[in-house]
Amino acid sequence: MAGPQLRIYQRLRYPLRVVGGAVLVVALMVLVVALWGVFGTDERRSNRDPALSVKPAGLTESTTYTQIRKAPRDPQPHQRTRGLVVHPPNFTKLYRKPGGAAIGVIGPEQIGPTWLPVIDKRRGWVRVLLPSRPNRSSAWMPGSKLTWSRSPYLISVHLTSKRLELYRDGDVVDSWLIGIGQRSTPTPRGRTFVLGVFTDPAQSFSPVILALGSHSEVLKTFGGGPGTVAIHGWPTSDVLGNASSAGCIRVPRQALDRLRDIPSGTVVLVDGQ
Amino acid sequence: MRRRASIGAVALGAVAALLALLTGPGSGHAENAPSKASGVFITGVVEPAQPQAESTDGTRQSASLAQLPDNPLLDLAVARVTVGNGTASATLADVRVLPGPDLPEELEKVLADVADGLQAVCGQQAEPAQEPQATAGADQDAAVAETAPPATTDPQQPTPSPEIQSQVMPEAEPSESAPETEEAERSEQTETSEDAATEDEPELSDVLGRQLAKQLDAGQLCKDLQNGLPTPVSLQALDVRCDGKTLGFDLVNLAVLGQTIDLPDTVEPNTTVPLGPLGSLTLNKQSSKQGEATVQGVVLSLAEQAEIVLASATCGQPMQDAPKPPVVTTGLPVTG
Repeated sequence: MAGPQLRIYQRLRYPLRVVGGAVLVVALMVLVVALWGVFGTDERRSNRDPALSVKPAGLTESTTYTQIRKAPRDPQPHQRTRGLVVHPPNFTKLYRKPGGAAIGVIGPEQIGPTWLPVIDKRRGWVRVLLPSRPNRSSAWMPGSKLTWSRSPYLISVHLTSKRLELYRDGDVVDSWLIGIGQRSTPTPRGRTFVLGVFTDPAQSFSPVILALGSHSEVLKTFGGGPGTVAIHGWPTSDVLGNASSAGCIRVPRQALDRLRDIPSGTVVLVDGQ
Repeated sequence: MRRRASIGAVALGAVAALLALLTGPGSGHAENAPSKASGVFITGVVEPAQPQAESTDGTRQSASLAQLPDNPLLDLAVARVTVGNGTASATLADVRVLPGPDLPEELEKVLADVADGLQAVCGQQAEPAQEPQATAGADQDAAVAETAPPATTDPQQPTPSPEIQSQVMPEAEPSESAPETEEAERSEQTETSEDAATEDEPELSDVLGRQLAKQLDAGQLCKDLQNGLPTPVSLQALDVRCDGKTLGFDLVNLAVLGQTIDLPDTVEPNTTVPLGPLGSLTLNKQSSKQGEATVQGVVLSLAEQAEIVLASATCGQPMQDAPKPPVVTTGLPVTG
């Protein structure tokens, strides 16, 4: 009596297993697509519009590796900003002045998503700091093409006292003793910004490195790189309070853990105090 | 059952993730609707509003003034506006509407009519047989003298704006005297509605409308009238604010014709105060449209001749902080 019933059960069980497996596969596929959408980069998202995702020919892309000689200099290199930062979702042209000639282009991603600090606004245009050489480079961009946000933070670096202060909404929330560039390779002064946060197995002195928009004024290249100045940790604490680096800003581990979460585009002011 | 549960969980997770995909990672957005605040706006007179401030990028802005440009309609002591990241506020102090001469002709006529009407009412009260306060009440209708001329201006009952769910200030006592006789017919014929003169003699409600008349002390008004028409509308302090979630309103000592108007502790949004021939006030006027909400402290519709907006705050959505940066693995030698 049990034989036919078992056969029926087995006959039913096989399709159920197939259907269940198919549902699982489809669900996993949806999950993968969804996760790609969540963790995919802004650049990938911008590629939905291929016409805008292609870098315009004939224009230099502003990155930490390049130089845009025609870029106007930051007119107030020691001034705080209002914290406004913008992100170009696509390749966006850079202009010498609003409505003027294009001098370069900037992409949506370099070290992570590109976020640039706004240092001026004028009738739908924003003036931003650039990550390319020379130091204090800026450019105008049409504001309508950008994603807007704000950073409540400001990083203030004092070269004489060798201290780094972290501001949030105008108030100092943390302060650390730091190491700076030695006399022959000084840390460049002026207004720059956090370009991005990265880890590099070839630079084991710090678990993460905050690349800034500035470059060494004396080292055109360093270690095969473009002389990018950065904020990072150091294996020993004896560098703190000293001017011994090739231009970078060395901070204690506690500071690094805090600063790595500061939004890209946050202004960094380096002064002689 | 366990397998079904696990498949269900996976499907649920997939749906949640799909929703996350559709809503995006929240890494900033296009430029926000600005937050705005303004002190005083008068159609055709103080336009654009003064002072005013606007923030399109979440930064804090403020403006203030201690004196409006020369104008015949409004005077104030202080006006200050502040806007920020999805926030706005406006504060005014010692505001007086219609303080001086050189009014537009139409407004001058309305005021003259009101003054004449009040003089007539007060003339009645000056007679010994009259009650000291002729303010209104159905029980006083019969006590009105016979010889005074009717009010020169039909009281205009303000009509709440159709798009606003308005609150109208309640009367001091319920209206229970709706005449069902010839008086009612006569009232309809003259289009004076409930404020119609039921006798030949004028009373305060004939001049100012029943609702406003019930708020005022006629005896005091007549006394004040000896020094000229009191300031039609004034207020001691007005403050409005918003923060993207709530709209706030505070008003201190609203006075009409020199007398403080009783207001509830909490003034409901879009509360109207009828002013008879002078027009109407809307207090705590609130509105919203996509991405922004507005509160206007006092909107004075002045005898259908001008609109005065006192203290306005509009809040857009606050700009979000930029995202925490991802840690990228790359080779970029830095100046150690």
